Amino acid sequence: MTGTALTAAPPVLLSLRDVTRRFGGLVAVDRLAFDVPAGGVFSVIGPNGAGKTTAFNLISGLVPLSSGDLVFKGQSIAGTKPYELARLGLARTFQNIRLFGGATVWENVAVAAALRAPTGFFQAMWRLPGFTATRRAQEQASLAWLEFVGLANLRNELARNLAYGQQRRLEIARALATEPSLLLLDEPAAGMNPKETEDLVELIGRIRNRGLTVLLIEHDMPLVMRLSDRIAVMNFGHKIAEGTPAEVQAHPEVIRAYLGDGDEG
Amino acid sequence: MRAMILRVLMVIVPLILPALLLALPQGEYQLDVAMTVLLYVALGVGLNVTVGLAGLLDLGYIAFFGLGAYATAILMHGGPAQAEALGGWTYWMAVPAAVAVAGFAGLLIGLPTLRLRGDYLAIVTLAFGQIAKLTENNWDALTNGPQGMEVAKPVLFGFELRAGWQLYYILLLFVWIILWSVRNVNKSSVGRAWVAIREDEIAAASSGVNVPRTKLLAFVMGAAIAGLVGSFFAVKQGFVSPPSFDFIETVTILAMVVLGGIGSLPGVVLGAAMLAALPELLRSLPDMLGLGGQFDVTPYRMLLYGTAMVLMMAWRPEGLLPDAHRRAELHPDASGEAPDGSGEVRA
Ligand SMILES: Nc1ncnc2c1ncn2[C@@H]1O[C@H](COP(=O)(O)OP(=O)(O)OP(=O)(O)O)[C@@H](O)[C@H]1O
Ligand SMILES: [Mg+2]
Repeated sequence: MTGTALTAAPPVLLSLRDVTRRFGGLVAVDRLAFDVPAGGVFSVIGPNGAGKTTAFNLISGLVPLSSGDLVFKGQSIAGTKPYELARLGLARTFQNIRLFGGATVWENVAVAAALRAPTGFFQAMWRLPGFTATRRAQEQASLAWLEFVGLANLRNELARNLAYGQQRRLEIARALATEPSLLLLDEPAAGMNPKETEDLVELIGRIRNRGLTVLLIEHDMPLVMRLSDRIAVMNFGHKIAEGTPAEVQAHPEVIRAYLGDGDEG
Repeated sequence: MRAMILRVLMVIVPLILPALLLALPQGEYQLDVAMTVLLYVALGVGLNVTVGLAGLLDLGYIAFFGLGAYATAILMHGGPAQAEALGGWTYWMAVPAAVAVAGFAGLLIGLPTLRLRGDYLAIVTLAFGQIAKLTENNWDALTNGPQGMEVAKPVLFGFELRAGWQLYYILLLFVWIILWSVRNVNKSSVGRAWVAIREDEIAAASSGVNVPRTKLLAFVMGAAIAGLVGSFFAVKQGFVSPPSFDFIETVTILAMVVLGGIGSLPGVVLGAAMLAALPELLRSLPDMLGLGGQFDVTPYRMLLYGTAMVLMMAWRPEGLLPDAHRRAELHPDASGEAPDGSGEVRA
């Protein structure tokens, strides 16, 4: 869009332009601006209540913008509905896991897989030609993504019966099944033990290797520093710093914001 | 095993039922009761799509049934004032039209309201039900008002189908079509999307489910089923008039759905069959006990429904045959590992 001196840099996939969200008198996200390049892992960090999740909710269309603009793949997505964003290639997980608890593991993923292999209503109702093809496509995609995250053996369990770390991975599988180009992960390591965290790092690595762009919120600083290509730091709704892991770690504002914060790596 | 029992109950028993009933004393009457039961089963299954599968409280459900009945009557005979403009359709042409009219009404009601959250839908559909009844009562030129309209019997290959058993098999065919269609949709990705919306609407939307459209499908499907049943009701009764489409009927059908097990197809069939047959059984009870015809239970029907509801809520809130989430299991092809992740679903 800008068309200036971008020759070497990868294209921008998502651009936040003075994104602002007010809740009554509270400005949860205040003129937040950064560009997420295509490919790699971009992390958003900051103390509790900094506005990270609100920023994700704005990007994924769950909360409307108060002002500012969001540009995804070159087009404005302000006001776009969540399911339309999923179609455009934007998927997310939730800080407080939101699975379809009463459905089985594979059904959770199949709901999302139907986006890319939709079954028509009449097709489903009267088993019209093409029904079986879309059904099989949904099932195969579900199973493939469950294998990708290592949950294929649990496919017929109810989602609510999974262990915490498994539920987090199921959420990722469900998001991946929409075949996104940008994946938003909100604190995927929260509540995980070191082994599960290690598996998660490996999983995110494989997701990035598939060419997906990952936008990550995480409090686990060693994990963030290992995985991220670029980091934006938020505090009180503002962006206080942005750069490579090394740049951000050395930034005086960041050090000040994190002083006394127990989550510091 | 369970599937076998279900098949016998749903296919063989209803298929041979007329022969059995007609052998009994008062056979025609027994057959009529059986048709009433089937009618309520079909209505219960339709309401269950909206209320049970998609979780949308539709309190104007019976109005769609009424629309189907009136559409059939008017298309076959024309309104009193414009017999020229409308009317003259055969029953078989009127049936799809009745389904379309009811479904389209569902679309018109659902489109603006399903985007809203919470209980707006219940209020809007409640109002719609009342408006529909008022219209039927007052649009004399089209509906003949409170006097109602006569409806002829269906004609097939030049033969008028007026015998009870002939009508029974038309209804049974409709019921099978309804059950098969609902089961198919519910087992498809559309049914999974309904589950997802019921479980977590926000997660469903973020997973690419078009939530308003998916809800609308359930609402319109429920309305269209009611319209189909209504079109049969019109010819079976041979008469349509507003009191048949009272709010209390919606409540009765809702009670059937809840009694059987909301969201559960076999449950709703059972619940509807029980509550529809109960008054008839109770009517013959005094005779069986030798009390003679002195005691008429009909006025206590609602009291009995209410008592049944309260007892159910206390003892078995999930219904008689709850939606046990008969898990649709995914089994990779028997041919081994299936590295491409191919699989199939068995219910
Ligand atoms: N729907 C809402 N209504 C009112 N206030 C809200 C709402 N959502 C978030 N907030 C407020 O906005 C601020 C930012 O919250 P947010 O959840 O975005 O923080 P966060 O950076 O994700 O924090 P954490 O690390 O604890 O998850 C908080 O003060 C929060 O209370
Ligand atoms: Mg948060």
